[in-house]
Amino acid sequence: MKGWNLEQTLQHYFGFTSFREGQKEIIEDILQGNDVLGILPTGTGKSMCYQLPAMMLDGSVLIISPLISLMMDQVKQLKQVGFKRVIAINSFLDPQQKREVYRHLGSYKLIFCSPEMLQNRRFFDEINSKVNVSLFVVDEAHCISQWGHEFRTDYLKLSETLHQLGDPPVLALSATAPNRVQEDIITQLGKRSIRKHIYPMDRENIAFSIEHVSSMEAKLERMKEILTSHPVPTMIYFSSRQWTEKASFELSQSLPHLRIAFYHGGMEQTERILIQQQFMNNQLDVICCTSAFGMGINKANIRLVIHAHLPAQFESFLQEVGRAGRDGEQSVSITFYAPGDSEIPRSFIESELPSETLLNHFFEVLKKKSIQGEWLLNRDELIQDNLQCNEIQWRFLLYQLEKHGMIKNKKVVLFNQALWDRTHYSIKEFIEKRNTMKQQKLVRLLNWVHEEGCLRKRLYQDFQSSIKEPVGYCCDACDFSLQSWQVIPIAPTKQAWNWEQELRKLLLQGE
Amino acid sequence: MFPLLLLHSIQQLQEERTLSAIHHIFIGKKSSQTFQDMHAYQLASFYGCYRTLKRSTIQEEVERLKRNGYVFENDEGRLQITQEGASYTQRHWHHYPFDYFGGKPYHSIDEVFSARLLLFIQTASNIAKGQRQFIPIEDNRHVLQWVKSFYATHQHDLTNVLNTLSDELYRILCSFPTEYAEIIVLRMTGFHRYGLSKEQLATKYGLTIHDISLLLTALNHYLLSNVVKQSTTYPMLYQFCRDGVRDIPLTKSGRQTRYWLLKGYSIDQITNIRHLKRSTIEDHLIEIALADPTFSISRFIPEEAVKHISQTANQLKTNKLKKIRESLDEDYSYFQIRLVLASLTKGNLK
Repeated sequence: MKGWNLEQTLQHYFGFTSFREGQKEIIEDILQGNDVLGILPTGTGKSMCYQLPAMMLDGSVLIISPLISLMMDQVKQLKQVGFKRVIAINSFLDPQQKREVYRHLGSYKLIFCSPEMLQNRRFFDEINSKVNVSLFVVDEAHCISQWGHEFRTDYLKLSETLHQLGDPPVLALSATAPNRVQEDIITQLGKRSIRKHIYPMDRENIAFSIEHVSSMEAKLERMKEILTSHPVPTMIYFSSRQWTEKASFELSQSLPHLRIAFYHGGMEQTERILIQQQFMNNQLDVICCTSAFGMGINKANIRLVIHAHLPAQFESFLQEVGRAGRDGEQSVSITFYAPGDSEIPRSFIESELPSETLLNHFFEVLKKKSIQGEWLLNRDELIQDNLQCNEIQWRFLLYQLEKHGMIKNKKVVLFNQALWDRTHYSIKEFIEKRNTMKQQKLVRLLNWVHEEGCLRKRLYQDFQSSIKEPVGYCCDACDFSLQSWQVIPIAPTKQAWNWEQELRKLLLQGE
Repeated sequence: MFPLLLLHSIQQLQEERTLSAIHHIFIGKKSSQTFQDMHAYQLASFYGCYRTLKRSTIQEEVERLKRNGYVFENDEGRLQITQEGASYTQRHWHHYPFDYFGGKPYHSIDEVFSARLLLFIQTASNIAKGQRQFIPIEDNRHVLQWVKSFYATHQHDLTNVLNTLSDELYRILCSFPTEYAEIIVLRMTGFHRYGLSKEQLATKYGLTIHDISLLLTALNHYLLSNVVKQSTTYPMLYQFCRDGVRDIPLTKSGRQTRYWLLKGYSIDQITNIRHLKRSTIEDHLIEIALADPTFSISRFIPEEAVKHISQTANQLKTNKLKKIRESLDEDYSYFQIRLVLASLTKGNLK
């Protein structure tokens, strides 16, 4: 291994002969012990930026990841190339497995966990005493900014954890982080001197189109027309579960030659897996989904992404659009907009954090209880006091109380007017600030919907200073029209079927 | 299928119980009241037939039945079936495989059996085709673990296992009507495709999502009952459920009471040992009397009393405790009456 250059090491462990854009520069910086912020577009091998260093560094690489499914994917990929010393710590491990894993924690080269797991005292002590963390990775680092302030507040405790671990080098990775988010990541991690490697995220093979229509019914009619003239693998995003079901039903009725299904977070787990995998496996042509369908989807031939409803910000929009055309072929994003559509994301934003009424009520209840002395904060008890808040709002309030010293050792402290007023006021201000910021983000997206110039330029301008020349079509304003877009239609797959034959095929009989 | 089952259940209750009783039986609630109800009203085979059924769903369906004139609410607020409802049920009942449902004996194993079988088919089909990477359709840790170790013990002769499994499934599916065999196979996942979701099956066969949920459970129970009863004919399939079929289905606490009973302790002694109320231990006794065919109640109630109570219940043609007790001049306690009724219905256990 000594004396090998990076390319040779890459080929030895992973079989690739060359690096993709950005990988080598980031890895070199890491190996020199620098903190690095890497913004690389999806599908360009972000994970290689820590996988290769893991092979080369002494000690272990600790990776903070937001979703169990993402961790599992990573572990699976690594095991596939024959790398066994890798583990994802999660709640699926039973106590015995967990003990076993903890005992050998120091022997893993890559350890994946969630930010919440890292706040688990027991787990942290095991890491701190047994593992020599040579690189601390924050994967999907935009989550620090997007979710950290509100419902996954453990993301904001990472800098403290880093300090307790003796400040190992940090690698923060993301695919979608405009300047503001980058700044937020750097501030939250407390790494002012981080080295930035920002690569453009514009996708030159996706064309952009916006259609203004009068109503939801008109949108469905347009979808039917588009899918008739352009029957291609398609994702259609909706804002609600009900709409995915309704649209899936209506489209299926009108387009019997296409295989259409819906997907949302309210479905049973097995049903979700079946539908998701059918789509990946080309058993489905069109999927009507909410934003729950997404992270970790790596289907190469999605040609068309339709937004029946708008998300609340560019970041979500770009993540969703970015699932089209992973294979590099010409793909299209179509966004529908009807008058009044801005209300859905607007009210979504307003309902995310506690309202002023809820906040007032919350502080009253806390006061009533705390006058007697300190007490253990318990959500069920508060619900009895008619305090209706959802999971996200609850976690947000809990974190805020902790931050302002109103909760100590899980107990609400004795009532103190000054502390109460101060905390109440600053939470209120914070919520207003967050809401304003989110409304501004939404306004930017709404402005884009009414843009008359080049959609591509406007779309990416928050994220990067220049854009690549599109391969194929650009957008409505420049050169795109549906009529001229030539596609290879999905071939109908109807064939005779009987269960006896199918059973034999499933169980590989007579082959 | 779902409205029919609901109509049938309302009919069986004879206006003596509320809709909750039906809901509790369908979702398989573990309470002695539910155990007693399902036997008293001959609904035992539908215990746990629709475990994810929401209270609101059953309510919506009842409203629909009311609008169709099949049921109405009587003065006491109990649901009652109309003439039209009864004849509708009679006309359509045999179109669906209601007799496939096996009730409580399968409750602890049915979901596990089908999850293991489907996941193993997916695993074996993929690996035999040389595909070691696939997304498992099941995420239950216990099922994953079980299939993993089952695969590990059989991986050396995977071809043989596939042949046997294919042969057994073929034979057992031939005993189903074609449409049902189709549904079972369409739900399976293999190397070349993922199985159909419930929603897709419902659309394909023109059923509602509730019908298909019930139907899948019914088919699964029928599959299980064949495998369990003829374990030597289906030795491979039997391995997927062997560890679950011998258990007497009891609540955890009921199981502990049974442990002390078998050691010869009296109700009062167990009450003391377990620091529980006497009524709780009595509930456990009812639960055990209903579930355990070998359990004898003679220790707790004289022969004479059993005779009296059972005769009265038969004469009155009711399971209402209050009526029975009054008619016996309140000579016996509610507990004694419940215990006798429980032991009587045991004969109906499949």
